[in-house]
Amino acid sequence: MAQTAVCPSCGAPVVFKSAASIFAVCEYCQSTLVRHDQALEDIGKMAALAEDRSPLQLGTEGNWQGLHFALIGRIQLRYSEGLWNEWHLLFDDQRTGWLSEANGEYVVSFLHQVREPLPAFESMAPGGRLTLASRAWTVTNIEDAECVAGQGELPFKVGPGYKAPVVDMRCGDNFATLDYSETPPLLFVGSPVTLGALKLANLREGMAMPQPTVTAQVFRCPACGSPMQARSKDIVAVGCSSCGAVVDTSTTNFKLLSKALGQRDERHLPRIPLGSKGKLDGRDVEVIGFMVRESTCEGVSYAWGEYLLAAGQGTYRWLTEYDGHWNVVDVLSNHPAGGSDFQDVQYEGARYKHFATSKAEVLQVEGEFNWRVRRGETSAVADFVAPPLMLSRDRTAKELSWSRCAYVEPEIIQTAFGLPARLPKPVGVYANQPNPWEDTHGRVCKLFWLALLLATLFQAYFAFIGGGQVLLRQQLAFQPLRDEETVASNPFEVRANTRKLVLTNETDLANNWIGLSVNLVNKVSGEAWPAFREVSYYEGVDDGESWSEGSRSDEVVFVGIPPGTYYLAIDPDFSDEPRDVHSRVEVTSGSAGWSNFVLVLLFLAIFPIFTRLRRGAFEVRRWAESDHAPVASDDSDDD
Amino acid sequence: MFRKFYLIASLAALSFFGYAQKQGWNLFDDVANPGGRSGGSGSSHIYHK
Repeated sequence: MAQTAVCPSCGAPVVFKSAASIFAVCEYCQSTLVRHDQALEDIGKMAALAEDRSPLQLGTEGNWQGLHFALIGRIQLRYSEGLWNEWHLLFDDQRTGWLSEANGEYVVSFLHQVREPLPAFESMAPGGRLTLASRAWTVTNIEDAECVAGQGELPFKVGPGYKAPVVDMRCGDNFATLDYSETPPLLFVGSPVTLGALKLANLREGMAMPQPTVTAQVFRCPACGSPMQARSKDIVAVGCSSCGAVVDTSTTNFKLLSKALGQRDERHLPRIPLGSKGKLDGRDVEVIGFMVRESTCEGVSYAWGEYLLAAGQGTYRWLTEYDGHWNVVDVLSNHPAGGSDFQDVQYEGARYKHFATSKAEVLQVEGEFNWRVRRGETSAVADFVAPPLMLSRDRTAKELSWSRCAYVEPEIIQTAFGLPARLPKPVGVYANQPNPWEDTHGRVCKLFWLALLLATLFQAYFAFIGGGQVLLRQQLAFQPLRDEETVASNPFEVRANTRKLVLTNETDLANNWIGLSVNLVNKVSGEAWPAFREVSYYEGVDDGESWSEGSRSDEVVFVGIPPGTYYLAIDPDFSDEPRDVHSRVEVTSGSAGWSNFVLVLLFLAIFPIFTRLRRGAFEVRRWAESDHAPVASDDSDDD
Repeated sequence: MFRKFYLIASLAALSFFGYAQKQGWNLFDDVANPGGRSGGSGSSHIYHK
């Protein structure tokens, strides 16, 4: 239930929409008013809010988890990297909460009562772990913030210079802040949100896509005198394009954050000029800053470029470029679980493998930045890859941040910004560059399994269904003393579609041999197909070891035999020690052999093996640049 | 490109495989009449009296 009071300074009505509000700033005369029952105490004028790019304002309404709310108050704070707003929310059920707004990120949070003692501010460090409110939190940011000004209704007294040491923590999708401005400290727990999800109405006019020139500050570089600009109060550091000096633009003193580049300092030119406008993923962006960072690994320096992009609704994106490899980078509101050095992390159902951890240093700063970036600033960077994505963890003494990088081809960047010249082709393999053989290998494997299935069905048909019938099975005797030399078998029928005839002889030879001149004879036409076979088998025992040589059986194949009635005419040829030889002769319509099946499988397998090798070679090149590269053998071992 | 090539190559291989199986060809067969019924000079059949 709203209560209305009268401003003791100007007489204007002051409305308290929330019963929890004890503090208000008169919107007409900016008097700071404290509520005591029905009376208001004027404790002086509130300082002016710093102009920023926030699309929110008092009176903005929205919806959070199905509950309508309105923005009734605001605390604007200044911290080491710029400004942030804490918007006081009043829900329809009279609950109050907070909507944090910093660098285009938004978090809805609520005061959470805890019984356990909270750790001292001094004991906190980025990356530290602590358990509060039944959750294991990771400390992501530590700030000594200071209030700039207050606006509207607030549940406590604030004013310019009001100190607010805060510690931000994350646990998966959850966000928490420990506010050390009160004793004991206050714990606020919530979760990141997007402006779209809040379904906001009554936004600040003209701020849906901030107009960069509206609040631009134009000044001269304190180092070289070149003209510079900061397009809004969000911009707190500007790098001079002429001399490389970095200027603090959070105040009108324009202090130097970093000196100009020296004569010996290498100067990197941005591949996308500052001020270039383009469209990435359907969102309008403008390049407002360019910085070069470098990390050194085993004595080798790797420098890469980072482009700060101003996107819609006060948000920012990044582009990074290393050796022609480009990534679109977004800072993550939800931090992944895990991520200790050399450990893989899980994020949104995907596993990201640890790639490398290194110390990165800022070498060059050009253009506008929304935090106080300095040359020489260092941070520990750890990369985790799941191509084409990569998660990057950036840790400084005060902050822990995560960002997600999506690999993009240079042509996409060129088209997005309408660059006239072609961007350089990528050199080598980048950490999260998609493996071009991954997709090919997958599809080739699918094709292989399909072809294997077809080949197996063919083989099953030919091996087990077609062929294999016995046409003749007969016991024959070859006798040296017999008058008639030729031994004839019983006739048998060869049907049409018989692919081949397999003749097998199972003899009872023992330490002897026999030559067999076989003729497969068509009984009607006399047409014959000859085959000469020699069967020999020897066995014995030498020095107590038994041995054997040759075989008692023999097999020969006739192909392309036309249908008809056939018989076998066999002329035996005996050794010098002629003995009777008995043979079991069998003629079968031959079934398909397995050799063709094996050969076709080998042929089909060559392709997936090839793509697998190529895919593997690409991965070897990728991981050769990582902390997990295979250790090369020491050549000195050969000495 | 590579996938198309593999698709064509595997279809050709399967066709040839099917034909070879239909003909009864086997790499390890000891064939008495490799020429089959060919009636030319390389004919492997004779007339038996």
